[in-house]
Amino acid sequence: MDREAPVVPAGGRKIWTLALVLFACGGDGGQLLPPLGEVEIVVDTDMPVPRLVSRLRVDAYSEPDVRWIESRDFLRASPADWPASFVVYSPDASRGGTMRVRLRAYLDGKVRDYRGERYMESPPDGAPNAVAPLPAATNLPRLLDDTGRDITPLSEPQPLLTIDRLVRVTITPGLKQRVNVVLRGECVGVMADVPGARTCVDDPKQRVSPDLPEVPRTTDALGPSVAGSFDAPTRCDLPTRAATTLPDGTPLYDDEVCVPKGVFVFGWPEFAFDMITQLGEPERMARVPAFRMDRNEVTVGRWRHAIAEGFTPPPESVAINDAPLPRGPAAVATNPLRTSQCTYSSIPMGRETYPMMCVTWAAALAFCRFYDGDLPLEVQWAYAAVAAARPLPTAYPWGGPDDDLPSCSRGVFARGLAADAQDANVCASVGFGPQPVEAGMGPQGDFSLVLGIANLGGGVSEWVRDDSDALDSICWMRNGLDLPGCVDPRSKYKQYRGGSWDTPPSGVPSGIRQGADNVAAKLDVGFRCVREAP
Amino acid sequence: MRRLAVGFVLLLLVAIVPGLPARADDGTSPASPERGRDVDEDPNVTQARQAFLDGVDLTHKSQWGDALTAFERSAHLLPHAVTSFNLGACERALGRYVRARKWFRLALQQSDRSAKRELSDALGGEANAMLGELDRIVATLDVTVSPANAAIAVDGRPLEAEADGRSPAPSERGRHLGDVPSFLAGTRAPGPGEPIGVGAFRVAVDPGVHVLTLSRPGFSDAVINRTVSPGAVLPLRIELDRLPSTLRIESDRPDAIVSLDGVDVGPTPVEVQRPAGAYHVVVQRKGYAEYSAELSARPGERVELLAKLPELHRSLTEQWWFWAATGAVVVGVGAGTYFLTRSTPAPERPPVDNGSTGWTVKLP
Repeated sequence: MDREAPVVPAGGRKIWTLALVLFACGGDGGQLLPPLGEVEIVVDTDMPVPRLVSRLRVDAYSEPDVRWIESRDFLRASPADWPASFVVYSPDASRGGTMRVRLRAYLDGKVRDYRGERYMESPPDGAPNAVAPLPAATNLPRLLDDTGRDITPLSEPQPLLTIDRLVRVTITPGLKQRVNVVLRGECVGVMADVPGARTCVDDPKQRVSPDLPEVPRTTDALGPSVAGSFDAPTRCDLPTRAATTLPDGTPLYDDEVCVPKGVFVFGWPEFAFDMITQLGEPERMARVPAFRMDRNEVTVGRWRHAIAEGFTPPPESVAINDAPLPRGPAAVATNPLRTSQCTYSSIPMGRETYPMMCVTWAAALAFCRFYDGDLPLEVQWAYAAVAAARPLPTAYPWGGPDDDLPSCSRGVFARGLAADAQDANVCASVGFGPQPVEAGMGPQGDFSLVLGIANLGGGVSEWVRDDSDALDSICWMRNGLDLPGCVDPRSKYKQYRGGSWDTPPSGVPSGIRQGADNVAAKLDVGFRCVREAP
Repeated sequence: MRRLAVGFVLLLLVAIVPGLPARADDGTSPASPERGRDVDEDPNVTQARQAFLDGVDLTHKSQWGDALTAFERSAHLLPHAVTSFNLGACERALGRYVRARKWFRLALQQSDRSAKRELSDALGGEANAMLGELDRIVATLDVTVSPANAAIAVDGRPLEAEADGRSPAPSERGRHLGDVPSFLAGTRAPGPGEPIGVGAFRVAVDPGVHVLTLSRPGFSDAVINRTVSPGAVLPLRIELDRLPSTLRIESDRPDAIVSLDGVDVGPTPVEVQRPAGAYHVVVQRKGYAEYSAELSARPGERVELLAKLPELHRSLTEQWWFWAATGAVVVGVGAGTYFLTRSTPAPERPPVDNGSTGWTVKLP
């Protein structure tokens, strides 16, 4: 109430009315000078807010010497915060000019140390698995205030996760103008060339002039935002395979889940640390089209059924164990290869619903292709595990809390030997060694959010199609936004993802990347298949 | 290859087993089986002997993990060079070469220190041969950390200082690493890293993948994943980045302008990273009282500040009669002034707009 305007009594109104009449009779009133030249820059984005964009960084440069003159970072974490606008103007009524403005939309916290402008136009040539060298750090340019004090920001948005747009506006004396800029998701990861004055507008393969046409500013309203239109939620309507059962009642666990398309942040720097640069592997944005994924890891019974249907595995592709599984660590300590824990047997031994393991990457690939599918790309696997069909990414397939280690009842992990890794056996009291796929399907089980894909967290680790290369390798850096991958059939090293019965709880988070020699059939690595849209 | 090694150790242990009873028979050892059941015997000795025999039995079954537990129990009750030797053999069979080397060394030291050498010449020779083999297998991390005295853990375990302070493996391969302290990885219970007081040191690790975690107050943690091959010497140069402090300033009125030491850093809420130190914070919004404060932030510290901006006091101007009277005077004076000066009106320029963010950038 104390902010309400004071009530003016009737007598007061008369006085005001008299004053207005006097002013109205005054004729031409006060003279107005033409306005200072100004351009309002209205910035919008089509990326979803705040899932993939929540901040706007603005840097202004003089023309033509490209001197850094201003920098500001705005938290814009609500779709209602977009579009956002600010004004560039000339303080001198008789003088116009040109200004170069860099606009970067990015996700809160996704920054790197500022070590100077490190423009990278395209991945360099070289061996695919070699680390793509960053341009040399020069620590230039620097931002100085009016007194010459260095106020350069300590960090800058991580380029691979940022929509980086350059605009150049011309300020005309006496005119109030406006430019409208949309930071489009298509351009994410494409750096603007500030000194060279080239920028991505809507085609990531082309950097074009940053000049924009100014239009007269006729209204204060900014108009509706297009935030979210780049990755609007959609239904997944690919036809999927239903679960089948053998005549003896054995379930094959071969049904598929349709995973809707989406964009997400791929990579996890905390779990991939580069020795040379002392920096984590860079995260990147990835757009994944809709695809179908096996709800379960491929089981022993399903593998055996495939052979009955004509599938011929490559030679020496799976370790055969015709003995019962050991019930405790002592029974496996004597076997250096520990094949006593492999699940596949030459004849059924009651392990038909156990996941296949001790199987080579090549054999897993052959199996998936026998059913017109493929091994998942690493981004498909990661997308299904941490991002698909959920509003914000999660550390575990089932959601959070992200900071807590999973409890033993959540899924099949930490049931191996203490000697394998720290805490690799803390859940062994629940059941030692590999378990049937049903073991991860309790009420609070190992199911992905919404989609219900089983055992992405534990069970067995899973082969993916990609080579085992760092995310800052040339192989990865050559990829763009759409379904990035690093697949080289000649490569000896392959990637696998996800925790297993032999993984400690700290190894369950789905962001962890793991690689192996594809020749080796690893003890705790199995697989599942995907089918992409035709 | 590993099968051969395991078989060799098994044979060795079989040879060891008669060792204790043989010495016990001549009355020099408290572990004599003949006296083991005497009521006067120290119960610890009885239990130690039984645990030792359990361990030997388990090694016959190649149950190395369980055998290790039994020998550890025996060593805890009654330290003995032969028990230490067997512990080394079990650790070696389990692929934990750093631990194995530590036990073999201890076995030799215990034997040397005992009045009657606890290890036979043959067994002592075997221990030395094992050490030679393990020195070729155990890898070494040659670490330099700046700044020194960071807390370090390898694979989630703190390091253990090597008993003799030197690691023989690098020098035997002809690589001079200087006189720096040596540590063992994987020998202590899981736990957080501990400061080791120096900036250059060596760490003996088993071949394979290891995760080093280094932390120091005021600096960013470093997590390093490294694969080392058998016998390798791997130099690691690690520089910890000094942590900036994070200042987050909010206000109870939206979009108030914040300045740090006179530099405008944006509208509230604003979060900036700055070097650790003291800052003068001013938060301003038109129509509200200015807020100012002194902030002090340590490296890595996050400081949050909520600026309360009270509305400027309007006691007199909130009275209706004030506005009525003032209005009358202003109208009268204004009208008079206007009519007197209308021939020369003062030109005005419309103000610069500032967009939805309230921010303007001026052409230089």
